[in-house]
Amino acid sequence: MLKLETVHSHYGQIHALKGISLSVQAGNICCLIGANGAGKSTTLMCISGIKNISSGSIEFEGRTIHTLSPEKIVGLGIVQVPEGRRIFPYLTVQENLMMGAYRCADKAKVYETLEKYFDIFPILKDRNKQMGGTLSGGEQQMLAIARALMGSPRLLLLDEPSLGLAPLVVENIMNIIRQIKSEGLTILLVEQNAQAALELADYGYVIETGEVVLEDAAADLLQNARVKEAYLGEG
Amino acid sequence: MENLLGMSSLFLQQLVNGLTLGGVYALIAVGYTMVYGVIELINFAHGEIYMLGAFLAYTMVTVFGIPFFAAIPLTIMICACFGILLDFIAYRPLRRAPRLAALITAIGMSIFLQNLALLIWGGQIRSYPRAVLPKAFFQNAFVVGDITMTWLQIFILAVTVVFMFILHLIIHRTQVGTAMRAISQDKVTSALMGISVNRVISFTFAIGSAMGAMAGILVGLYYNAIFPYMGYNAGIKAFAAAVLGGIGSVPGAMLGGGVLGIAEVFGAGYLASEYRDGISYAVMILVILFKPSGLIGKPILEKV
Repeated sequence: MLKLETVHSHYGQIHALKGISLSVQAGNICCLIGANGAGKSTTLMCISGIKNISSGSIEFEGRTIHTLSPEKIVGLGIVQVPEGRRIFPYLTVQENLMMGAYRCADKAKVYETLEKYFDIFPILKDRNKQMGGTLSGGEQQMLAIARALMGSPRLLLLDEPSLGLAPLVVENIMNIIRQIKSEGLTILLVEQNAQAALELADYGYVIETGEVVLEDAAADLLQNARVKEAYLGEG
Repeated sequence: MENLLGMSSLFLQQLVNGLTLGGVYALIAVGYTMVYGVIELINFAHGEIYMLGAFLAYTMVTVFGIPFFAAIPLTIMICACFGILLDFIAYRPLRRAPRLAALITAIGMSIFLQNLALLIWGGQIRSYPRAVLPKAFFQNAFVVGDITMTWLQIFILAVTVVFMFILHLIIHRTQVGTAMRAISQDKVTSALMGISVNRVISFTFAIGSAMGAMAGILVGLYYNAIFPYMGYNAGIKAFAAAVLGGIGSVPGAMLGGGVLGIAEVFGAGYLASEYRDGISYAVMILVILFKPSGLIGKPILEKV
């Protein structure tokens, strides 16, 4: 479904991605794990068209997308939940959600989708008139996910959904991701919490300093000695 | 007692004049504050759009014989397009450049447009010929004691209120308005939601320029003076009003315009008319000293 071929990217002199190649299969959860600064978020920003790539290619369903603008990429069905949630703090919960459906011209359908996610996340319905910035971290993460889903994506990019959340809330978020997957959505998940990510994912890539150093089925990565030592705190 | 009444009626008269002037400042100020909100740029050429608004309407009524009330919407539309063009030519190529580059370009555009107007319309002060304006503009709408208010003042106040109300509806009730607010809070996330950031920025310029053009026509009417440099002083004042209210905040610009207009008229009335500009800037300096984010501006939000 999504394919990155030796993608390079720079921030000025800094060579952030050094030839990342990966692919995401339709209907799967694929995860990228790695330490802080390894290039995971940069990879997602390149896919979303926010960050320019220096060389290589990104294809979505056989179509080259790295030359497209961010809004066109969203139009193709790739929506990102950015790191740190990035809720619009001075928009209400409902306005935040409506922004997720910005490209959908069919108002009736938008409200239908809105009701659907209010059912899935009742807390958002309770707080729909509240400013996004007043929500707690976990609620903001739910809002960020629901906002992205409002755009009816086919590929969801999730950047560190567990960041800064209490363990119980993390579990809740992971269950939501599982539920989304069961509805047939393809997910590319970036996580520092390797344990939680690999338990959820079908396939995984390990990224270190801008390169893919390891890739395998998620279940196998969980058993991999190197992964255990570096990312799971075992061994 | 007589004296007291005289004083209070002077006070009310000044208040009426101050509100009229403040409304016009507010109309210009929202243009600064909206553009600042979406691209963090002080669009110093905004005052020139206001000047062009006054001149375009002038040319329409004098050269082309278009009725005054038809010239207003035409001028507004042309200036809205002009605002989009200004952004497209001058600012969009510099979107990723350091902010100083765009700021200097804005000052350059301001000087360029002033001189362009000088070239087209010449340096002499012009005014809308009285013959094309409704006679009622110059008649008193009402006289209560010593307080008088002309129909022109009422027209200016009414237009200001209506425009502000429309603006409020656009910003809070439409999707593109919500997108404007979203972009002012987080551009990257807005793009990630599929918002065409550049298109919303164009829309912002269009709205700001439309309000500015309307203000230009109103001031041209009120002071009977249209000239190429009229945008400079009004622009600086409106910018001061925007800062006073809290740059980036639309209600702030409205409030700031009102406060500045009233302060200026009262200063001119009770102290000396030479001080009018000085007083409005003094008010701005005081606010910046004691409340840097403006009267109702939002303090910079700590990103978590």
